[in-house]
Amino acid sequence: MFLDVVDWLKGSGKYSTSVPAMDGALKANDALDAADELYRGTQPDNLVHFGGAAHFSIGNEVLRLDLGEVPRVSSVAGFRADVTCLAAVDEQLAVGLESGEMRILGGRFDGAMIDRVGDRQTKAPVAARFENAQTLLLALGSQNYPPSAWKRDLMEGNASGSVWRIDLSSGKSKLLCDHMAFPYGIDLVSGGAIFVSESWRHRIVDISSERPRVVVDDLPFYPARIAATSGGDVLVCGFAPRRQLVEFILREKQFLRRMMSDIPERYWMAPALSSGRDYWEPFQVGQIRQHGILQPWSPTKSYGLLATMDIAGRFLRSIHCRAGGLRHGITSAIESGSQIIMTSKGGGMVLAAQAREA
Amino acid sequence: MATIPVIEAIQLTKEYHGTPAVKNVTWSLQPGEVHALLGENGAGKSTFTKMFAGVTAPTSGTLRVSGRTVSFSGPKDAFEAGIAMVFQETNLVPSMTVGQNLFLGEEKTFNLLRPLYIRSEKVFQSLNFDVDPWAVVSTLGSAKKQMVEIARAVLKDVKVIIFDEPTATLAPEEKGHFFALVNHLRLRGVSVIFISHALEEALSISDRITVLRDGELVASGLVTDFNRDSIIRAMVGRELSVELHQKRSKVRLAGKKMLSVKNVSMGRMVRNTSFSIYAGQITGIFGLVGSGRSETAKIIAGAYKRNAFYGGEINFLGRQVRFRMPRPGVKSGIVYVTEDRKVEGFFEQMSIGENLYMSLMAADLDRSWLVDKREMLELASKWFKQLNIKTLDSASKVIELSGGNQQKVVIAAALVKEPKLIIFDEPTRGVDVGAIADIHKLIHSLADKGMGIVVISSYLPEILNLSDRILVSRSGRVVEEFAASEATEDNIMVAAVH
Repeated sequence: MFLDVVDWLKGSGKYSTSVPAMDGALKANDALDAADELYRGTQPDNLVHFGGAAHFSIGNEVLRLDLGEVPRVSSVAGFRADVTCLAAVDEQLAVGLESGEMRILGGRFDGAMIDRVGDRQTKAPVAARFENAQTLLLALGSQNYPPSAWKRDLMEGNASGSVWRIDLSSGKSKLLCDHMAFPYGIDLVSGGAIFVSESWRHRIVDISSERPRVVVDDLPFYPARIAATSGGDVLVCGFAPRRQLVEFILREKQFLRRMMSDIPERYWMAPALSSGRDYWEPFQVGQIRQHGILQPWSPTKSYGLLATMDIAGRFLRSIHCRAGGLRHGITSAIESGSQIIMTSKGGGMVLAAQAREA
Repeated sequence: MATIPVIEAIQLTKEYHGTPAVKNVTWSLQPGEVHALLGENGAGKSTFTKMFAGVTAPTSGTLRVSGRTVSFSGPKDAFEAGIAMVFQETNLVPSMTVGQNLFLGEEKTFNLLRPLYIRSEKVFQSLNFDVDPWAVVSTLGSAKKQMVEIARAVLKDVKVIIFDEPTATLAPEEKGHFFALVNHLRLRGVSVIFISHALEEALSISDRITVLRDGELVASGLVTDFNRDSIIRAMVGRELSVELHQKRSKVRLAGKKMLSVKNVSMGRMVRNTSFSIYAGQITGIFGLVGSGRSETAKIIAGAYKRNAFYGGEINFLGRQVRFRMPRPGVKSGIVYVTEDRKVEGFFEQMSIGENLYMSLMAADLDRSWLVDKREMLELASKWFKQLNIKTLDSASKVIELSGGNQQKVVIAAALVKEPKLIIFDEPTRGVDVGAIADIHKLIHSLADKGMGIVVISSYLPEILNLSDRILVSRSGRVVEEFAASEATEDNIMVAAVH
């Protein structure tokens, strides 16, 4: 308790507002701005391989993306609520919805619906992965809010997310990890590990054993979905950068409460999928020169980042879209031959970059 | 009629043990001009001007003062000829007051201090320097000491004043006063030689600029003939010897993140700096004097303390650390190899073995307090071989060794602590060429073993030769990062000064 007060006074420990540098393999570049645009639409989100082609969610639809000379997009399925996550295996597609339930399309369990796991209602399915044709790994981002209210969940400092293993044939579910701070991405990596990106804690953990193992922590960005590559590495999407001002606001509870109650959500000083499109917003990358040094006075809220990490947690390379760009809010990526396909939810685009660059 | 230069150097050369520090420089200083001398660290600027000030004698060449050939046997001769030098490292007597220092050498048999302090006060007021003449010099900060040095030179009514990095320790307001003083001296017909790393300052206050590189004069002319880019080009465009100065062809990939420095601040010297250090890689940190590189390194190692409030965070091997002294830092695996080996690096009157053993004892708090002489000898013999330390006698005191071998002892003392991360601050400063090659080889081998290595250097070729990744520090923070493949002397220097 005493040390807590000292930390609070000194701005250290858990009251620190420092953020790690985006350097080394995460050094900023403009490579994402040079990526090919495959499709443009409002907030494309989760990408999966299904039936020999890439599929992605957009609004309340699932679209198929055929790559060729000219990429072609066709609608596969539509729902009453927005689609919040996808998972696919063989002919089976699992679709998570804003209303909370998961629906299975095709295959042995066609038409199945999951709206409860263990003793709780599924509230925010944000990531899913088939372990095999009858077992689904499901990440519920929050128990308090639906996926679209993620910003509120972050600013309230919630850690009510969980990851479940669901046996589709028996309907039984097993809790793999609880009290997670928005598990936004999940994938199986070589060696049988289950990697989960815990967004609000800026880290990736392996939950394959009883006690979760931290693979990499203190990331300088908020990780979104992750995807294993054929080479054994992991693609990590980053939808927003960590900034000192946001860290500071997260610790100033009174200010935070007033901001959340008095100001519309899109103007909050909080991570965002996109920004700079409304003149009411604080400017991004504004700066003043003081004694010959450019001092930023308003930090970036959104960013575009796709990084490749090995399974030991070492970042190998990354492609970025900086504050001045539009391809922000990268939420999902998959490997497709020599290319990486990714969704820029903030920029409203599906993009493709060469795998060796990303 | 042409004006007679106040100082004229003709084919001036200075060699140290056969190695030329200044080579055949022909140069002149006109009366009442402000002449900026620029160049990288080690370019020979200080050596060149020390010959005018009588601190060192030229090996060959002619030196003329107001048209008369001179040969100074010491600073007193130069002073009598009207040349004073304000050194980067102050030459004040720390135990005496400012006033006493100001009039040092003018003492009579009986001295009245009160008039001396009143005169001192007047001098400082005329210069607009806020220094208390009654203060003891040891209680002053480096900026104030520099002001006393400047006042002492101005007081002597000389024809030439040489300022060696006068503004490095001054605050912006004090710099303003200093520039006003330089203009005042110019109007009085006093010539000023201004040695600086701050290109903006040189461009704004000088009449002429001369650039030295590797002891040779590479460019000289009116200030209007130069701009920042042309000065940088002249400063760094050396032909590099293949062995020491070639750029790395093979670069090590980064290992796991070992150290994360996050928004660390310490007064005005380190300002919100953030960077990471990775295992199995050499990270070079370049920056000019005053850029906060060494201070940041010392904060990491626990030699300096960062700001108590909102001073940032340091994570080492996934754990948040705040070392209040170097010992816990060493125990955690971080070792800092100082840039000032003579003051901070070793016990000069002890033998190599004793120095190494002391270092070992400092590293492990659980060791026995009994000194094991046999272990000490074994340790000395092991590192003698490993680092190729050359000495006549294994019991030699460290003070008796050459600069290069002293540096090897300092490095050995760091390595006996078995660090995981080692920070070399100017590892080859004042070291001969052979020892430089040995030290570089050692640093490479440590990185190959997976250790995290940081090399801080003001010497660009060294940074390029050693580093897998280069960080550039300016005004107290890391402002740029280069992969070894994209780094050039030009772009590093541009990041360091712009």
